Amino acid sequence: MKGTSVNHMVLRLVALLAICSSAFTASAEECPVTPAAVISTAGDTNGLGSLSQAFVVPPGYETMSGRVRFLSSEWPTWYGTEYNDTYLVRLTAPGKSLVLASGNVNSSTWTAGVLGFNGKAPEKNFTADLSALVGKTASIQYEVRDVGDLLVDSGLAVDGIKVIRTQQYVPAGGGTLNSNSTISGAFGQGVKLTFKNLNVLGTSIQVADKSPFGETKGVILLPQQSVTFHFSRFGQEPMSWNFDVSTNADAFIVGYSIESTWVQGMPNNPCY
Amino acid sequence: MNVKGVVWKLLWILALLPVLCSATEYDAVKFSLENTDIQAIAEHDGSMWIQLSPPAASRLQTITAQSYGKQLIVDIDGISVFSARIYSTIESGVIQVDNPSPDVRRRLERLRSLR
Repeated sequence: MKGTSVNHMVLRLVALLAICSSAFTASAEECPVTPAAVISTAGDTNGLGSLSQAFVVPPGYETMSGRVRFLSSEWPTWYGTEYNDTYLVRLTAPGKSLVLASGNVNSSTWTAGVLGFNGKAPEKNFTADLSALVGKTASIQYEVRDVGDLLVDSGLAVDGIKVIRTQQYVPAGGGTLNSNSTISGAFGQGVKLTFKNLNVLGTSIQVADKSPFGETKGVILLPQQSVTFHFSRFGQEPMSWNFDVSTNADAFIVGYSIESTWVQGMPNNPCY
Repeated sequence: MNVKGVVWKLLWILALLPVLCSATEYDAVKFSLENTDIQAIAEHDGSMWIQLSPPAASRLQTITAQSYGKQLIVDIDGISVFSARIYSTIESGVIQVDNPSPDVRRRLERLRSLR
């Protein structure tokens, strides 16, 4: 028998381990990860369960992925009827709206359920390209909707939502130097400094990492010639770097660019 | 039932146990250092800095080149010093330990005094 029921949206947050051991297969995680959750229609006046999370897309992290599993008690009794509950996962950002996953009871295949639901559909993985959204705020929304009744509930288990690192080195600034100078900042484990001689005369250039045990690297640059020096140390990111750039040449004009494995806006390493 | 086969399987599982346990659940790799792997230790801005010996630096370079994105756990004489994800091949053989615990700091200071 179908009918109306209790009234407000219930959002059940379930511990990661509980979800991993029941709704999903466990796997190694990569940070940042949203804790697992179950969005349910249970108790909502409008038969809608929803959850959304906003996040700023960090530099160098241009893909996101996650997985969902549709859960429903409409199956098996109300499978193939008008009680065709639905779910939707959507990514929105300025100028972008993208459906990442969607489905309904009648279009899903079902096996015995978990977490109090009669049935569970297969896990569905999704990915999204975030390359146009670096530095912008995006939002991921999950919705489960009762169709035809408010009595028999459906849910959506959400897990493994992560923004995935796609670039090792990210631009971290640059400029022009015309005398001995210092380049410093909060960067990552690896820093690449690229210098280009902008002068019509050749020049010497030396770069000294001023940290303990820091290396010094140098070269003679012909006009318009470029060189990239790579500095590295292992540690937690961000880390402080200080470079002295010097020359013996009387005329010194170089352009430089910095690339690093960590720049402002990226999550700290390690992230917990 | 083939008892001999079961015993062999059990022996294989027991033999593989340490290998299975060393691959941690978070896909981490361990970088273990001994006293002889450390060439110098310095303290600067509240951090401890370790300069590895050339063979240990070469090991660090190899492990960081092969394990991009994985968590690297640094331990010295069995004591876990810190961990971070690997995002660069480390060619310099330098490790920076931020905010070392009192225990780790004592261990590193003792190692420094032995140099």
